[in-house]
Amino acid sequence: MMTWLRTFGAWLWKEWRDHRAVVVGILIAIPALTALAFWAFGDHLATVYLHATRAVFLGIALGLVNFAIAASLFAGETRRGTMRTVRRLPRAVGSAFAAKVTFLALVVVLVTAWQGMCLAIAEAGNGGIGTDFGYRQGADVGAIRAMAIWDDLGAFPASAWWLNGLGYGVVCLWTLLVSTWLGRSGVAGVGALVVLAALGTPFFLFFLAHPYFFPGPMALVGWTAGLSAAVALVASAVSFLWGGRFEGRVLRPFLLGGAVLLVALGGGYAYAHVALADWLDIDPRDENFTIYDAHVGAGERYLFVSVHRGDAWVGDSNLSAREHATWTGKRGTPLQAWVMDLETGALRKYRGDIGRYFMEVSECMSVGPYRSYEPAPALVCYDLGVDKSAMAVTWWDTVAGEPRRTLPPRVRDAVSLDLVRKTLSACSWQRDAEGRRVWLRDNQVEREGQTFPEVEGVVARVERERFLWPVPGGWYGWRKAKGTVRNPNVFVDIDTGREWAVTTDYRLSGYGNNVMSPDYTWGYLNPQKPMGRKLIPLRGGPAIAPKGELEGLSSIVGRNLVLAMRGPKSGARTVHVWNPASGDEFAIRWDGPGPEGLANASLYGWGGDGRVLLMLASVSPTRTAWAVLSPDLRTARLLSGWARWSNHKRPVALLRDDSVVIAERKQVVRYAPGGEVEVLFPR
Amino acid sequence: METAIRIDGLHMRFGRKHVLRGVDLEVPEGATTVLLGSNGEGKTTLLNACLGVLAYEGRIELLGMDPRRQATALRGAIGYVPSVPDAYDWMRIGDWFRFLRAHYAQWDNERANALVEQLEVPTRTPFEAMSRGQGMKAMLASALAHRPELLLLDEPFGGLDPLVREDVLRNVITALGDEPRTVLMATHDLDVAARIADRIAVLADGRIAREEKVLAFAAGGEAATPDTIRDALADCVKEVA
Repeated sequence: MMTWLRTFGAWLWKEWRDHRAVVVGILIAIPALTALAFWAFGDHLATVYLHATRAVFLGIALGLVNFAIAASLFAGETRRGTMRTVRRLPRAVGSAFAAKVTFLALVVVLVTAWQGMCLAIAEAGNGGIGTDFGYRQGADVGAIRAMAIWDDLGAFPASAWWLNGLGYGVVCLWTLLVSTWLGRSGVAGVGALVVLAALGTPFFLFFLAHPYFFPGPMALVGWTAGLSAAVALVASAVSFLWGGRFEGRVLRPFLLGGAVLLVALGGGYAYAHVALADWLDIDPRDENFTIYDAHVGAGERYLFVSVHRGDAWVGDSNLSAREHATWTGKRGTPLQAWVMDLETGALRKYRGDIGRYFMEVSECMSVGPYRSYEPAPALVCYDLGVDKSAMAVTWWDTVAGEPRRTLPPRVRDAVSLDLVRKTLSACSWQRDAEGRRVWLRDNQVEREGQTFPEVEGVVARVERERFLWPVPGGWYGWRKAKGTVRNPNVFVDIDTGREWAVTTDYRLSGYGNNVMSPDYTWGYLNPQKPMGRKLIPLRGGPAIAPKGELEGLSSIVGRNLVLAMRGPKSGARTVHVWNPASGDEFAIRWDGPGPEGLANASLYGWGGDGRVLLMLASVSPTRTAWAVLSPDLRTARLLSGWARWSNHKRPVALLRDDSVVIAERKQVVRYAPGGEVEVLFPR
Repeated sequence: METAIRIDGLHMRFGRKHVLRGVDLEVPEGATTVLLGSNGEGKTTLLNACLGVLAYEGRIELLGMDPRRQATALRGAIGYVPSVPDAYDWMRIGDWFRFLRAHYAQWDNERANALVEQLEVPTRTPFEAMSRGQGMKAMLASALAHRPELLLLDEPFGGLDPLVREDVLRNVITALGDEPRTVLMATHDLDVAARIADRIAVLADGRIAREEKVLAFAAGGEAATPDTIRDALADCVKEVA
């Protein structure tokens, strides 16, 4: 060992003597170039382009090292004809290799530190930007200035700086490798950049295709630099020690070194693909497994769930979070669309390239102001692109549990239009005077059995022009005023197309006011102070509120009734229905155990048969629960017990007697009226 | 007498060129063997194969060691003088010795300095400023400083003018006479061969065409002079060529 160290030391000394003039030249050039740049462009460098400035300065400094030293360490031996010397001396080949690499590393560290110090001095001398630009702006005289420089010197060699140095240093190692192949220092530096680009492009494309697998810029630089350095080092060793062992075999270093690169590259790709496949393989038993959303298909045979693991990756949002250092570190998978056959338990998983998830058919989400929880005959599955937009939409027949069409977003064909109609009909809970289902689509009222003038092709995006509400016997609402939703003063009867001006003195706004009839809205007196809703007359006159302790909560749209509560707000309140027209009220009776500590209730959704879904809340502790009001609004039943909001139970569907709920974001559970619980997913 | 170098069926190819086509050679221990041959016959190639810096087919054994498998031990035991000084240009002889000392366990600094003095190698001149003769003497000194059992010399007198060549040759003869060692020298200089060789091996057409004691080449036997030996060698080389 001592003998080897002695030989190594001799070669290290030889490299220093070989390159000392170049090293000294670089060390002199660095402060000179830095000073020159700050003298010429100081203001811009110090403020606007701070981070770029540092990276560029270090890049130039280590670029000099790359082209003047890294490229000539091996190639110089070839050029001077001293490779024979290296080969013929005992223990020289291994020692020379180790010494050359060590010498390069030492020079990279030295130049990185020296450039950092020169830059810190230049920045401080330029008014100071090291750690606190504003403070340094004032630190421009005497002792304060000296302190600022001292502070900067202490603060400057941050990890990012050294990480930059590592990155550039790795490029030097690749130049070292290429110089063992070419034997010409002049082209080794450029050759290394070409090789790096050739090897890096597939990885770049890999991350472009799978951005959710991107570990973040800092981690990527760290990992890439580390791995790349290791690969370059091993390939250089193989090229020089084995490939260059004998004279006269010019291609041997390239072939052996290239073989190492191919093995490393192949291994890297294989590992990346296996790791990616493994990482995308979500198991419901995973600790961070999460159900994003779920839908029960019409016919109740199939369950459609959108799942992910960790922080859900949606488009580039998490990427952005990483770049802005708000990334929590819990790298999450994109959403995946799973279909479970509830009869057999068979599970089908659809990953997609970027992410897939099930959604309600968009037209059916606006059948009214609240979502329908009726199992829909159709769902769409969005296949996301890198930019978060849907690249393709697959139309699913939820009764058969099969995809029917895959179309570009917002394109409809005969099959998808048929699914839209079926779904609109099934999900609508509003009835007209003849008892037909009725719904809104594109600002227009449509009725079950009606023939629709639908055109296949691209669906035009229809801007919401009206804020419409179902009222007994029709649909009324505000027409949106030009450029604002404030003070809408044109009232619309959507059924007849009649419009008339509202003469109320109250300020009204969009959905803040639920239209209950042509005469009243239920809303805030002042949208700026959304406290306490009242019945607001549209033809003038005082606002009306429930009397006594009865607090009106929300209008039960289409019924001309108001959901109200009675009792202290601290809890243990009771739920009532108030009829503003008659002034009557009645308490809702609980079918089974009622909620304890109830503080608030709100309208949340509807079943296709007219049942009303309520969200209940307790104040202390803050918890939520769900209840279903019967179509006659007389009785209610709790869907499940109280749950913390963060681990809440969220309703998925209202079936005939049962309800389906996402529990703790990890299970889809079916609750029967008698309290029986069945876990539908996972099994 | 033991065999210091044993070469069996040595083949060397450079691309399509088949340079050595089955060389068989035995160099006895303690003898100075001169490898004769015209330019391009493969003398340097043969030495480089012995040094282990060229890949070859066949079997080579130097001092009982395989140059490919026991390269480090073998290179430590042999001295090598290249046809052109291969020290780094900026080095002076002191730098060169300092550099070499780390490679040879048996390096003898006193002997190295004595050789420098004996061979009159300039100590303050870097290799890039040395004359060819000075450079070759420096190479000879550095090849002998670790007291090698075997010395390989590759055309050490090539390119030297006559006066310098005579000076170097005289020094070589003196240095070789200091200690008993085996020497294999490649040259096409018949005069050199006649003056220092114990044995002559003639390389022609990629093979050893003739290998004998030097006196066997001359008609006069023990009474042969260097001049008659040189003439005899010339005839022999012409004949085998």
